[in-house]
Amino acid sequence: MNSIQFAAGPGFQPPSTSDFNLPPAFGHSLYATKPIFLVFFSVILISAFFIASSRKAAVVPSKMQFAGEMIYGFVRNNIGEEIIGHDFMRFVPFLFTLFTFVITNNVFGIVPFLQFPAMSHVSFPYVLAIFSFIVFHWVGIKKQGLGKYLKGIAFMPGVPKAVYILLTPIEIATFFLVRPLTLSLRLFANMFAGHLLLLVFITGGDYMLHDPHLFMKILSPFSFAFGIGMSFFEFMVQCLQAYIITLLTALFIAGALADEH
Amino acid sequence: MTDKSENKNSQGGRFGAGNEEGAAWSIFGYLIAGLVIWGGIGLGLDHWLGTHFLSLVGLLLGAGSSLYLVWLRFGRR
Repeated sequence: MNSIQFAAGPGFQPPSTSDFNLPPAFGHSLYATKPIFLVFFSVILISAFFIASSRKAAVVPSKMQFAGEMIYGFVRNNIGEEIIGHDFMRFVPFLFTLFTFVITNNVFGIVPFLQFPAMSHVSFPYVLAIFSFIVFHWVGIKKQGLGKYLKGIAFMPGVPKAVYILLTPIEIATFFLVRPLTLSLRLFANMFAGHLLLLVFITGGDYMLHDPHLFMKILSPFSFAFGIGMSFFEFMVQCLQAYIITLLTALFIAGALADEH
Repeated sequence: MTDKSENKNSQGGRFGAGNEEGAAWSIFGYLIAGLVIWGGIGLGLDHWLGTHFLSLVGLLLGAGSSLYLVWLRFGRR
């Protein structure tokens, strides 16, 4: 009987999308919100870290220099060189900025007191996807010329002409619609769902702790423990999503650069 | 170092098919695009003509042709 009463209890407000619309930090400005400040803070943090780590660059690196070079080396070698190959150095600054920016803002989601991933607001990933979109199309147009580039996208060689009616719309939609959309929505959805998941376990644990029934109080630590476990899982997802958006951008650039065989 | 990257790139070609992870995402994109475009055309025609079967035809056509496209891009070597 008791358990039914718990379940039907009026109290617990599950977290919802409204939890993502944070009030202005001060005043009434719509732009003075936590995600905006986090984004600015991330830029300052990234700049400070990499300036500090590379300022006194030595042959025998300090720990900080080593850490900075490891991140840079990862983006340059494992994403830039591996995917784009020949002539990849031109794109490393962009890829590196993208990667560090996204990973820092993602990991803010589980850093105590910051605890909000800016990418769970869809506008931020949209802007990143627009950048990526402009870069890879621009690179392709510059390399191959507008006509040849568009033709390479729309008409794949070695197919009977009638089949183009079926395939060309799909190709065009893939390059101009699906690519930027999936790029941004994948990042957004992962960060949004992850933050919501943490909210459920933490606010749920808090609610159970303050419930008058002893049974709920006893169960409450499990919810917190799950929240902590999920935080580690989230850390993995946050790093992975930063990697994936950078990897896909590199792949799109590589695709735009490669000539049709 | 350079040898390795050249190799990767020549295999990868236009759509990053040399990289398996990249290929997986590209294929996913194609499948979505096929369903959305041809399903959407079918739905539009249904609305316009007042029929009910064209969205299904569009979806099947889209799924079929995106599979064909994936085969063209990644299967044909």
